[in-house]
Amino acid sequence: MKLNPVFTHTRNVRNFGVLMEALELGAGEGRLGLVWGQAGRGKTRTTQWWYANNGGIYIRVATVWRSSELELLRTLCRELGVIAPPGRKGPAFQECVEKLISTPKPVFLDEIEKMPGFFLDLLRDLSDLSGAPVILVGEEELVSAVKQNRRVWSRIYQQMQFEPLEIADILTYTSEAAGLKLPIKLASMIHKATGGDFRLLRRHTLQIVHFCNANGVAEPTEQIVRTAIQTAVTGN
Amino acid sequence: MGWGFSEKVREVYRKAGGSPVPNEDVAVALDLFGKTRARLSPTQRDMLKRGEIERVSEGVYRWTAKPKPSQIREAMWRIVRARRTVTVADMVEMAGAAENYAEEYLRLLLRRGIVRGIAGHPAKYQLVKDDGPATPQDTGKADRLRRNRLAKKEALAALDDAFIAINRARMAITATD
Repeated sequence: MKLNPVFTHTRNVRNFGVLMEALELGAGEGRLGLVWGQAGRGKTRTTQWWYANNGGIYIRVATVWRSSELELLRTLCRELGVIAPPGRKGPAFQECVEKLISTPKPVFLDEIEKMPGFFLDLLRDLSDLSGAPVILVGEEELVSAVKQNRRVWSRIYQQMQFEPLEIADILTYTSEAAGLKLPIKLASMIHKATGGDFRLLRRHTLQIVHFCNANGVAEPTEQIVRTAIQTAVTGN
Repeated sequence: MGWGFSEKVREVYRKAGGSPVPNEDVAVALDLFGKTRARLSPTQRDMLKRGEIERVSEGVYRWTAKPKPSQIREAMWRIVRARRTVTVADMVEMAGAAENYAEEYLRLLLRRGIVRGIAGHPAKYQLVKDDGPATPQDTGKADRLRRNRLAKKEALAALDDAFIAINRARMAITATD
């Protein structure tokens, strides 16, 4: 038995797909999407998976860009295929708008909550002028930052929170990744131990697989699941 | 609806990206009712035969068709750029690549100096040269084919020359006789 790398379509992933589809419906109109949730719920992985398979622009915002929008605009320019991005904000912004008008694509900005509020205004302008959807991805504090800026908040067309994993998600993941057929009782134990955190679920599942292999059993017992939960490295 | 019908059905499943889709959802998405809804079943049967969808439960199917290699390569390149440090498992999980194919692709990037291995973590690769969103192509096979074609052309030309020379020699011998 081994843990296979699989991308499980959890409820959050399905909701993310719905959000993207809904944003697509307003094509040609400036619109923002808001995706937020606690760390470890799979926001970044889901965003990267969607971007990898459907295209668009994905930028992980760097804290070092905090003081000025220029670096973000230059990065966006490069992602849009501008070979020599302008060195000033105005022309760089104009270049981004023109490129997004000619080839509209969704722009994902991950960890945007690290940036000061004026970045949100810049992204609102970018979406308004280009008609491309801009999806803001971040942790809980992003919601309050967006709500504080009424003009940005009013342009949020779609929003979703990455909720903790459900028992059904745990059953799907353990079955798809390790071929485990867990009874609800054991799935509930894992659910409680992980608190709906996807990273912890992965670690616990790996541990269960190790223990099953070590004990030469195909299906985990309650004892195996309990020991796996107790011994998994959780960072707590 | 003709040919377009199966394409529309396919699109509904494709958009769900592998999530189970109940027949009711397909019917609502395509505005099917009464007689038009009856067309869904033969289309699903064809798609099942082609391996595009699989049955999850009664009246529920999901998209399983594999993307083309070029799409997988593109997806893998996007993963490398988005994550900066990747493993073969990331490629398998997020780009839907086969393990061997993902390994081969990362080795190609390694040979080109686009990624480097991380000391102590043999399965991890780090992006060190980002040339932009365009997917680096595997031109090795195309170069080999081009070289083979050129060599074949030169060999054929040499063979033609040899035939001409032989014919000339034959004619010269005949003339002396």
